[in-house]
Amino acid sequence: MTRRLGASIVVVAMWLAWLTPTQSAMGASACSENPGTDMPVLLVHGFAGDPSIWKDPLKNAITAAGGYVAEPFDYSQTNTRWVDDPTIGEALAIRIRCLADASKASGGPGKVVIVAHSMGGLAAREASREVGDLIALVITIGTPNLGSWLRGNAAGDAVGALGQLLALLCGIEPYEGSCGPLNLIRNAGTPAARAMIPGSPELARLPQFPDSVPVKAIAGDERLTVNLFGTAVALSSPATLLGPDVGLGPDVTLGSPVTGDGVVGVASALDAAQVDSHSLGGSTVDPCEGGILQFASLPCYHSNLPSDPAVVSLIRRTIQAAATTIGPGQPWGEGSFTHPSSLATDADGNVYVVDERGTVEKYSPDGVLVETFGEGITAVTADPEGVIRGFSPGTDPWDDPAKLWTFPPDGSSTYLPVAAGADVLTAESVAVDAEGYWYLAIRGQLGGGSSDSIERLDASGGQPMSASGIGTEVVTGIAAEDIGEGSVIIYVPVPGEVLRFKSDLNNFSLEPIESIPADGAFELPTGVAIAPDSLDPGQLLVSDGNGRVVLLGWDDNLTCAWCEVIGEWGSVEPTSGNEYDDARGYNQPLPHPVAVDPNGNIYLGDYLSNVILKFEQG
Amino acid sequence: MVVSTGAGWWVLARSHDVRSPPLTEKTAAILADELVSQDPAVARRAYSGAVLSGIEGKESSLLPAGAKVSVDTATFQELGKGIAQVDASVTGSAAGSWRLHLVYEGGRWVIFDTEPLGPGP
Repeated sequence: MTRRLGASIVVVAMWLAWLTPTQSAMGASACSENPGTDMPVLLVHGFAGDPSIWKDPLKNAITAAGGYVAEPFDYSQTNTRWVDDPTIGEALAIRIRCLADASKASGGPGKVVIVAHSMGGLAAREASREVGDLIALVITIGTPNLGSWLRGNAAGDAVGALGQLLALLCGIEPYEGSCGPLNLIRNAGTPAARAMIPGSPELARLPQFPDSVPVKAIAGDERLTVNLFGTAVALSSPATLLGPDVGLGPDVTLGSPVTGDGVVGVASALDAAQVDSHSLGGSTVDPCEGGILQFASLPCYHSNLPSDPAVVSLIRRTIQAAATTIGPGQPWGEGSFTHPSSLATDADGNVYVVDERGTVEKYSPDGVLVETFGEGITAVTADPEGVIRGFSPGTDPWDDPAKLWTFPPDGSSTYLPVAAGADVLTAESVAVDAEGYWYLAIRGQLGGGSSDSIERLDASGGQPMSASGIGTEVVTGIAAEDIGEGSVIIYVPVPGEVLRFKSDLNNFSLEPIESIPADGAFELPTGVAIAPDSLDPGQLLVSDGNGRVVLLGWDDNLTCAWCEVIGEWGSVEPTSGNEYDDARGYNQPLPHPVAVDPNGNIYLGDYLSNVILKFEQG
Repeated sequence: MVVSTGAGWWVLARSHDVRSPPLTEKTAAILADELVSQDPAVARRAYSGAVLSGIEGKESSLLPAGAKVSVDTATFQELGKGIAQVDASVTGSAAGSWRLHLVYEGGRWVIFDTEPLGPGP
């Protein structure tokens, strides 16, 4: 009886050993629900992990983005195998295709967004061999593209000095009832862990994401300190304590000094080969700081990243922005343009173009010329009611002053002369607020004879109120954002930053003037437009002289919370902005006006190439 | 080695695991002398290489002149291969009780972190 029972147990055990991975693969590949018209978002956990890594804040943020439905991909039964295992990469590809097909059949986008933690990002790369065309966007969180330093020692001992240190740390500072670092270390001798040794052949064989797939890579950056008798001493990583025992040493692939999330280095998570060739680039979330004994409980520690509020916010914004990703810029508008310098759109999506010819050309959204009006115009703006306003500089401050033109929808036109003596030279960008005040971006005179200024004029063309001192010969754009009760926020792009200041009915001054930094997203901004709600999470659009369209969003501290290049265009201007320009005859940044319609379609005037580019919402 | 993780007990050590030498009274005394030395070159010997870059440039010891360190070797506890802790008391102007977190480097125990335990004796 005992022998028979023993034999049965062996048979059952063998059957289970064979069945379990297969069941896991099948379960992982099945579509649990129909996404309907919503965009499916697959959450792919990492090495030695499971879907419990995805906490409610992240799932809620994805749902709150609107139009998305999140599902986990679960390979927890085989989570220490390498991603080329059929139950991981192949099963993920099957799941992606299944969801994409279901989405398409339901009238949805027919593509899938991947949000992947750690090795999950490598699983997504493996899956992209088969289904790259079905992936709308990939967001990786702490993915070891170049490998991980948390890999046991050179002898393959899964529990080297790092394990001992982590045991110490876990004993002192347990978090959430478990000890993630030790869990990783326990599995350091497994196939996946060996494959994630920097320079491994497995990593080398992994495909990169297709160029058509936008990738956002997120890295954590722990700033750790130790306490030496009350003196805080910075430590770049807990792994630096462990030296060559965990293979760190002078490891050039991970960078030196080593910084990262405690498991994956920043350089590995933001591997240029995976990030730079894709439109969304990489982001290192704000560093988190703490003592080494708390390193596994800090919010930007590897296993905590998916719950880090900064990461959750970044993922939400990335997904929202992906829904508004613009396509490549296409030449737009019939006819030809000569140095387009000002653009505007109205509520119906019509586009108004001013170029060197000095007329306002009105185009339908599909680029058909509707009408032409005005003369001597250098800047144009449009209000929601379809009233077009234009500025024409005068030839003489007294005898032929500058004019403020109004073109109502009925086809008529009126103008008001700017008060005699006003020192208005020229303006290539104009904004008008709800109270009827005009704001002109005035370029200073050649050679520093006068500095750039912003002029406010009331609707009667009265004496301008001037705010000067922004710079000299750099101002080409301006945008005004009504914030109610007669107050307006003015935005002015200058090299390396966008300046903003507040104006109200009784006060017009550059003080206090504030700076929205470029954060690496642009260098020579020349055109600026208020982003419509359809371009959430952006607040401002900037055309950069270096051939980029940039969407900016910032937090209360004016720190870039979202500063991303969302489009590129052809005519690249010298970065210095001081090259001699034949077209204008003097040295200064060129205007590259940008305008956006209510649907988020972006129009950009390429001054040098004499084309208007339209970036349509994708 | 068995370690409490808050979620259970894991056996971490392997059969071929070899413990580092214990912290003897003699080596503890050397460590204590180094810690209070006002010669920075001597004081730095007491610390792990991982933290040395953070204290480079300091012209004196992290402990003020006149301080005295007494390491209680009876509290020495090797938590695993190359990782240990021991309690110490500091008297003088920086008086207090400290737990010293040690790592075995270059054939000796050195400090990589300290944890305040309370006021000194």
